[in-house]
Amino acid sequence: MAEVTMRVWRGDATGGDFENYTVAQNEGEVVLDIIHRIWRAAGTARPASAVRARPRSTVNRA
Amino acid sequence: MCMTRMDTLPEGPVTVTPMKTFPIIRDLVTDVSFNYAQAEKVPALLPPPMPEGGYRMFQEDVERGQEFRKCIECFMCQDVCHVIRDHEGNKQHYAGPRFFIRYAELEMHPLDTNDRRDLVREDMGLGYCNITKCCTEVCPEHIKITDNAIIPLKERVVDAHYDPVAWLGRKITRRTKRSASDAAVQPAP
Repeated sequence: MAEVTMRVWRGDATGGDFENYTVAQNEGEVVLDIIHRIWRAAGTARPASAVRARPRSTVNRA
Repeated sequence: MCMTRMDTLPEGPVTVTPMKTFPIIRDLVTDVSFNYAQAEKVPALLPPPMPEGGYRMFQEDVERGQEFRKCIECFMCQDVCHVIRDHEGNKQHYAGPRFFIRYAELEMHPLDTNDRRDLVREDMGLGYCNITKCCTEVCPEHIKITDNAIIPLKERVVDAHYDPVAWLGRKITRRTKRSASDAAVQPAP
């Protein structure tokens, strides 16, 4: 299984920096899959990293 | 991020950053409420009263706006648009590509009677767009934002404000916008 190094920006409005994560990369995965894996792994050591998967719609369909 | 396959990226570390245009909440999440505020400003579709027999539209008029309905609102186009990406102050008077396709969709709708040309010119900053096509390049739905929405919208605005022939035509016919009853609703044969 291949491994990949991800440089993910972590922080908040007051500031932050890139953190390196080396994770397994499975065939057919997209970037979001890797980010979710980092999210799960990091969630045990510190508050889970935040990533939004789908925004709400701005179209008023009424 | 949800469409980029890892095996298409070059060897080496992969850098992931939050969107630059919007203020950071935490990690990769940004506050995109600017977009929702812009959405509230869009005047809704205003069809004429239902004629006897129902509304009628040409299929090609219907299809023209369908491309814009593919938008999944990832706001990538808003993120790369340098009018707001590099100039925070422009957010006060610039809607951005996502909403230009919304305005274009409504303006092209064969049953719409609202006229938004003054709004997009004066309050939504259509003129700030200088057609670099960055928004089109990043659109994951491959919507031709610049060619099919922004440029036709600019043409409509120019027709309304700067074309002397169109101005004369409106004076003669006393029409400010081709109404739905003129354009689409035909009597049944």
